[in-house]
Amino acid sequence: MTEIKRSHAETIQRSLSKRYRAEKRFRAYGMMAIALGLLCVALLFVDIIGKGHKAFLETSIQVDVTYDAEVLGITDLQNKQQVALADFQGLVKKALQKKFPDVSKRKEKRELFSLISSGAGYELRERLLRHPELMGQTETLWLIADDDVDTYYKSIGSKGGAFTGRTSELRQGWIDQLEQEGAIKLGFNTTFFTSGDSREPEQAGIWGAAMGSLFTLVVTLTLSFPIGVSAAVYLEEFAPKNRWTDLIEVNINNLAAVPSIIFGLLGLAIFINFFQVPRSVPLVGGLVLTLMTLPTIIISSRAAIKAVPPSIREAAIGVGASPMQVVLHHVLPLAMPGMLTGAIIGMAQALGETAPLLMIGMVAFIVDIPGGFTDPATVLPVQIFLWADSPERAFIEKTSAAIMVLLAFLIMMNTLAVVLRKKLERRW
Amino acid sequence: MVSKLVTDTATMLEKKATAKQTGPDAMDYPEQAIGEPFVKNPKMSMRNVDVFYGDKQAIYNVNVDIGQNEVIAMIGPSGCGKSTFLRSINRMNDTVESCRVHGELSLDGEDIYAAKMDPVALRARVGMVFQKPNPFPKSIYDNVSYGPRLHGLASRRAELDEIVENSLRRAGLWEEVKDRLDQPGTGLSGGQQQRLCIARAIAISPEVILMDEPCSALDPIATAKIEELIAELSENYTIAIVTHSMQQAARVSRRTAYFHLGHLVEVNDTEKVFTAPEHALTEAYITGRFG
Amino acid sequence: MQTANLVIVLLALSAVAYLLAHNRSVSLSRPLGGIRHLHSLPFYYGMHATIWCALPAILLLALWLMFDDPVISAALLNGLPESHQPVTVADHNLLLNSIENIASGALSREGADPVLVHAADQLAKMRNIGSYLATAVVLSLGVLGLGWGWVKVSPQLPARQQVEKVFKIMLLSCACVAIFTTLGILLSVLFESMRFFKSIPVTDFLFGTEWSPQMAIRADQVGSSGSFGAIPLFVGTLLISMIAMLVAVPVGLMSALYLAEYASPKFRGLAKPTLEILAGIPTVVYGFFAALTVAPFLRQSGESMGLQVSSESALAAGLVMGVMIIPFVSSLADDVINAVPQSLRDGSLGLGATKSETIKQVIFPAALPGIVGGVLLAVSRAIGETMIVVMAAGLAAQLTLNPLETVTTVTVQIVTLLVGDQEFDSPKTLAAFALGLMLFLVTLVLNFIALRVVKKYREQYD
Repeated sequence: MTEIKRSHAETIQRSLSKRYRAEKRFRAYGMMAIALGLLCVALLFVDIIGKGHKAFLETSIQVDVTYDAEVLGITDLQNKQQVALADFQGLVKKALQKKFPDVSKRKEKRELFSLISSGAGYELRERLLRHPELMGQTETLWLIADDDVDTYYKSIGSKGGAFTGRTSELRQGWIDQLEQEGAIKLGFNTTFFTSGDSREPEQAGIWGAAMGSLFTLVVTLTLSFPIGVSAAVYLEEFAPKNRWTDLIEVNINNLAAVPSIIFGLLGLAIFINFFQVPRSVPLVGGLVLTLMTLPTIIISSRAAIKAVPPSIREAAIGVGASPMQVVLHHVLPLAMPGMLTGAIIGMAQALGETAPLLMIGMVAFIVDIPGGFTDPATVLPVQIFLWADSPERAFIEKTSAAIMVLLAFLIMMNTLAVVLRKKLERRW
Repeated sequence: MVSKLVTDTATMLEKKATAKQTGPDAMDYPEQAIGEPFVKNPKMSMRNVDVFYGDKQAIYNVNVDIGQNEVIAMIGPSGCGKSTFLRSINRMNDTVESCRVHGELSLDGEDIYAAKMDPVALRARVGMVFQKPNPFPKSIYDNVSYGPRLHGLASRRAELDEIVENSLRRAGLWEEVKDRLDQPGTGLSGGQQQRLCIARAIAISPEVILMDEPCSALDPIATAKIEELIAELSENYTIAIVTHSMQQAARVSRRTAYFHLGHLVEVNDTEKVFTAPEHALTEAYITGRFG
Repeated sequence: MQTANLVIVLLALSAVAYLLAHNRSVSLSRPLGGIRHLHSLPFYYGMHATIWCALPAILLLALWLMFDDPVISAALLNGLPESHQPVTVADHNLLLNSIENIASGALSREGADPVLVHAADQLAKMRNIGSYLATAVVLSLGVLGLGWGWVKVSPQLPARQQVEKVFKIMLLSCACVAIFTTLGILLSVLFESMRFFKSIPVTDFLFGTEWSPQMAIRADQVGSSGSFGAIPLFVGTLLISMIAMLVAVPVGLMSALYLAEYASPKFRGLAKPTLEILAGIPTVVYGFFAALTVAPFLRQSGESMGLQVSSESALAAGLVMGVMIIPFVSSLADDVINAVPQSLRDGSLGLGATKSETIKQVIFPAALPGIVGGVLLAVSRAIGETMIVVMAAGLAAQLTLNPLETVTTVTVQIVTLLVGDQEFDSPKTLAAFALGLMLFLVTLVLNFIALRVVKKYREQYD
């Protein structure tokens, strides 16, 4: 017996180095897997921030604008028709002409005029309407540059050299000249945060999509939270254990894993085609997202209710509370933090969802900022999708910036959920 | 007179109870375990062993030997650190993040916690049987052959078959399972599962077998079988068994060590411990005042 | 009255009902010697009246809103002369739309068909009457309910039981929303699919190998016969899902194993949430990343190796989708691995196994059913994923298994067929519902099996 043991010990000792190599290899695979995952996170963020951080700046050009009634063709500022038809862009052209007086060829002129965004005219109109006394005066203004100018100007001095693909040498020369005069600058891009969508990248903003997201989420939250909590309360506290409740349970778990696009099909067939609710409105978007997030909220609410110890229910029943009173007075208040956490996570999921909203027509090109639940609107992720599809180079940067804003909201919501859970977590 | 005696006993018991509540009072424990903790030619010897979980000390300065081919029982009230001590002997405690072991522990004179001692090789030499039967969710054959395959102890299938059969025979399980070696080990009864775990442990012919309350999850009949098995195994193996049952310790072991709240209080021949305990704590435990 | 205003009035009425019934119960209790002689607390008497006042009225209002449009339009169409009766469903919608537009002033009345102008006037009139009628009926029902609730208050009325019963029914109906959602999904896709299969045989759809969903607008048009063989879509979906799983399963599994078995608590506490960030990133972001970063990168590196990589290759979409699924696999695997009892680890380590041997030979086999369930869930997710493929995979329905070429998927086709203004009845749009039906059935079966397996597995170690 002792012999055997000794020989065994030797055999084991001999095999050890090989086994430890295998151990090390396995460990290395694990490390590599994690490293790969972390690398992906890093890569994603670096890529998006790298592409988008410049979108928070915009290029503007300084010109002397004269509010020339003749150019505008306005005799009376109160006359709305006149104001609507007035050629405010003409003022911009005049101002540019003044700055570069030696440009005379028609083709060159056209290039010159497109240094400044076509949105500048609207800006001047707003300004004049607010300050009618400016009529006939001249003032020095910073006006937003065209997106090609913006792209070129931002890319000057970058590693790959300036992007000249859509900026001719002529224009480059003008921009250099402006630069020397100090009449071109990069400033904080307020347009991006205050305006709606636009075909012109320099005039496009996310405010419209953000408001659309807000309205949609309000609908989703006001419907899915009460319904989800009620369903969870019923299933945990009142449901008899029978085939019917089993069916509901299996159903909820399955629904949680149904592809989101299917909910879009449901919304299209039921809400839009059957109930004739208008397309593209936050109301329908909210309804569809409600159905989509409901399983998440029910599942997390049930977990929160389950975590309330039975002793508390027994104590309440012991002093003569009815089952409903036990739930309302004890279980719900104690489970509320967990339920809220679940609701926030569900809302984060809804905020990032795109596919089902495409189905119900929230992809329309909408310039106006939505003001209510039945105004046509789009939402942040759909806006990202739309911009990602646009051919203009300047939209890549806008898309990345919009992604950053969306991610910032999501990170905020998730942090809130984590903090809430930590703060209100109770140890029984 | 009678009433005074009653109150005296009551106060004494109260004192004991409070002492137990307020934690170990150093005055209660002997500096060195009473009795005969050391033997000649020990298989394993432990000196000045302290074990900590994080900041909490679980074992205080334990000194004891385990002799060749002897069965030593470790008894004591629950939470007294017997299991912790047992798990330190084959470095199972390495897997617990916060656990630290100080002192000299040696196997055949080799330091167990030395840098060059390999925990994997050590555990092949010092096997372990756990409290709850824990067969792997594999076939009976695979359960027993797991260790030999791991360590490359058999080069041919026939050899492996032989090891499996021998181990199962020695664990007294062969006759019961020889026709269903390919069925899952988890399908056996609790007692059979525990014997399977013992077969699994002896399949790699360890030098020492540590048993951590091997019968606590079993019924009396299964327990009797395991105890029989321990007696047979003691011919070839050194066995350290932690048990909750004093009767079991008395039945299977040659020597018994009594632990109390992390201190080794008394070690002696089993008969002596149970008939003439030297320390008051041992006596109190043996006579059933706490446990 | 507008619906919103009507609801506000109803709510105010219910508040009045609450107060009246509450006070009546208190005053009734006074001669008896205090509210403890009532059957229930005054609160429940108040709620009892509130429910009587609000619930029937709101239900009626909901029904009214659901059915007033169809009823009015039916009446409107009946009033039209024979010559204007619509023939097809499309005509029907068009006609209603133009009447609607005239009524709302979006379409000029001048130059419009006088019949339609008349109909528009009719519409406005009917709407007006309808709205007055609704207000009158709903409000009187509310007042009736209030009166009933007030009359019923008596010390013997089991108000609490009745209120709780209503509450319970409301809770139950909330729980049933899930059932109705599934039913709604099933019915809507099934119904539209049936209409699709009326014009395109099921076998052509399931086994056809050519997909070009262009229908001829005019009969004499060439080259747009429209073929609806979905095999290329199924193959494309499988190809991309497979690439995704090839990334997600090894990486997700290995990182879960490493985090659960090797990593120090500190590293785990840092790495786990960081990996989970991947799960919280919206799919549209992944799509952008795949289309604008990964695809061009693959194309360039392919070129440098002399390979022709399509700029909408299956590989780019699949890789990025795999990255998206990594945290999904790893968190499911983590759950499953943690459910393996510690005693099995101890048993193996106690025999002198190394950690990796324990993992490979004991933990992994023990956790296998759960892991398989998790992987199935991940597959169903990959199949149903939409945005990544819409943005990074192509539209061309090629029947190929080459990951460097463009393929299209079921979800991509659903989106392309349905986005934009299409009429609802062409086989082209209906095809999207048939694809949706396939998608729903396949993912349902996968989920069902996976959830079963995981549940069985959990029970095994409970």
